[in-house]
Amino acid sequence: MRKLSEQELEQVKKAIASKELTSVEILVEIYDHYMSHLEDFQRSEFEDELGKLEVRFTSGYCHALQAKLNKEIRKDVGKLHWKIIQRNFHLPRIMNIIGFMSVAFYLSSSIGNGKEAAIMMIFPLLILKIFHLYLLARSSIRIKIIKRSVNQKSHLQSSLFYPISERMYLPVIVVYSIVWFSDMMFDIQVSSNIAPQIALIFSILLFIYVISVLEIWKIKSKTSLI
Amino acid sequence: MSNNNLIKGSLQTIILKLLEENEKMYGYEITQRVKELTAGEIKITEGALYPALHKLEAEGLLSTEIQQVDNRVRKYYSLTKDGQKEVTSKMSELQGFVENLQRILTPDLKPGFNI
Repeated sequence: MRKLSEQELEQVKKAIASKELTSVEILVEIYDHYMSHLEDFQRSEFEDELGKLEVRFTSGYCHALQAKLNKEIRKDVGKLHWKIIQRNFHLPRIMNIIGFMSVAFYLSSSIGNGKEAAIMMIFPLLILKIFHLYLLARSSIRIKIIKRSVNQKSHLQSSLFYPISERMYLPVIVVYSIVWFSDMMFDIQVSSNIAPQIALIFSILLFIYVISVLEIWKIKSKTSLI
Repeated sequence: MSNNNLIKGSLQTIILKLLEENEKMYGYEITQRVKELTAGEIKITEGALYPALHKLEAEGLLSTEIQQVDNRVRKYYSLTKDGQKEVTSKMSELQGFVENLQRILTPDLKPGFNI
């Protein structure tokens, strides 16, 4: 095994960058494969071996691999999310939720008007938004290092980023659609007319959803680039 | 030796078995280990290897770990608990298949024949 020269390294980076991959997982895997393979050969064989790799890792093959991985990750995140949500309906958690809801119902009697109820409903969404910004910043920092190391100029992101962030925005879109749609189409001011108990149930459900999304990230972030 | 079609059906078992013996491995290392064990007779192509690794990962049989190695990032694969259980069943399935294949190819062999 030898160390590649600067010039050889540049050639490898150029070859990888020309594939214009967007999934950081695929990019690091292919880059490592190229480097591990080329390091096993002498300088005189470099051009030939790089050519052979380029025949095997064509742009079409790499993009197909990327599409397949994205599809599998989306499916995997969906399955994991459902498993986490289901966990809330097992006996010890149900007891916790019932206890939590009882306290919350007792407290809901202190909600004086629709504005307070609306603030309560917005709170879980606010957590989600803050978390999304954190995820975006954290992921960008981690990917920036990889982007720099392979001279990739085009867009690069973890294949896990979009499936998780889509799930973050799902409740936001649903809630705002209900509120705005009712207001615009039927002239019903949902946020100011909602009963405190309904607002509370809604908030608790949203809160469970927010926790489940955070749990997906907690599990996946241990082994990935998000 | 053109054996790609023969290997295709047993690639997942090969990967799982190698990972059972080695705690964690990366893609290129798997191809080289197979080449080494079979004296170059079996070569796993990248076209088959990476989709198989990603599929096993999505099925929860493999977990991944990202590590910084020599100024680059490397993705290591290792067996999950489910993966460890799966190795035994996949191995006996493959061994059973090979025994049956042997009986077809050599009909004179007695039914109790074991490889």
